[in-house]
Amino acid sequence: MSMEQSVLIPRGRDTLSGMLYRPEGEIRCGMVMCNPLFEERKSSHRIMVDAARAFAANGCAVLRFDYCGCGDSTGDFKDFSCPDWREDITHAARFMTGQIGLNRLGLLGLRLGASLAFEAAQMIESLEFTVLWEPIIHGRRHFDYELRRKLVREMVTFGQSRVTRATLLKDLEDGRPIDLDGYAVNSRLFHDITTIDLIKAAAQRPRKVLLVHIAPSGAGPRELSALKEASLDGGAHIDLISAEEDPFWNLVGLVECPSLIDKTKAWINLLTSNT
Amino acid sequence: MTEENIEDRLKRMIASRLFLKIAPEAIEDNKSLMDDYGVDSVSLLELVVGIEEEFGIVIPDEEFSIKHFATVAALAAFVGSKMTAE
Repeated sequence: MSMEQSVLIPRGRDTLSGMLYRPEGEIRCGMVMCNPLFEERKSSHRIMVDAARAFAANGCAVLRFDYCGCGDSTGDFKDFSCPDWREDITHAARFMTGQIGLNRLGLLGLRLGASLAFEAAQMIESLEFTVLWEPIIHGRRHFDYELRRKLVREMVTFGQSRVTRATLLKDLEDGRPIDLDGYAVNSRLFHDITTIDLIKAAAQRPRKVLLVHIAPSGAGPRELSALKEASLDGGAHIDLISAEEDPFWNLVGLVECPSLIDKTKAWINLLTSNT
Repeated sequence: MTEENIEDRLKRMIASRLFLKIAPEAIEDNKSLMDDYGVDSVSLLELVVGIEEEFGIVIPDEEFSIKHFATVAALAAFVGSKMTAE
């Protein structure tokens, strides 16, 4: 069991809205959860809540929060981009450290949230570990995938896609925002997402990392293995595991991910009991 | 390669890649992928990516038309034509 409390975190002129899950007994560590973006944020909500509760019941205090311009936090989505959201993560981490009175802190991110967490990690001095659930390794490839998803949606709705990736990219180039899942993506956000490259960033990033590949088949893709290799080269302690679960961030409806949550919990247990 | 082979490969891919709880051989050639098998826009994109990897073809944005993705039979004809063209 854990106590759940709605919290507001001051962040300059804005306020981050969050939910704090505090274990009933001894707190062994704290963790800040970093949401994905766009439609994946909504689809993953239930699993993120389930995970927060499970980690809290296991002695890990957890903070879930919305980035500026997203969810219940203040601001307009169009006014923010990746550097702002990385800054949000550092504010949330500072808040969490104050709440639990411990320097034993971790980040857990999903998809683009994992990429932001990986990049933000070096900005948080007290950070001990980072958990990356199916991170976006190459932002450019991911954005291209998102554009194709838009085309497929148009195809389903209108029988034929009415735009091409080239026309959408031209709009961005000319300073016209494009719509992705109902979010206005401007050229700044486009640039910031497409320049994400975790392989390049790996050398200067966190020391203790759990990298989780989430797929029904359980086979690890080459990209995550490449990130592991790059991180090892940078001197990190990094574990790569697979959780055989459906890609819940793309699914609508009730989904459960017991394997993902249990494996993550076991890794955190091992880490916090060894040191 | 015959279209029949393409259809079998497509059915295997649809069942595995789209996480359908159905055996490949149970997918009927002329039934609607969306109405009868619950394939949605997210699954369709997985299908596009899977087809490109499996058959070594590129599906241009201009050819994102629902008529190509309506049934396994339609998809097999489309994939067959792209393979011939490339």
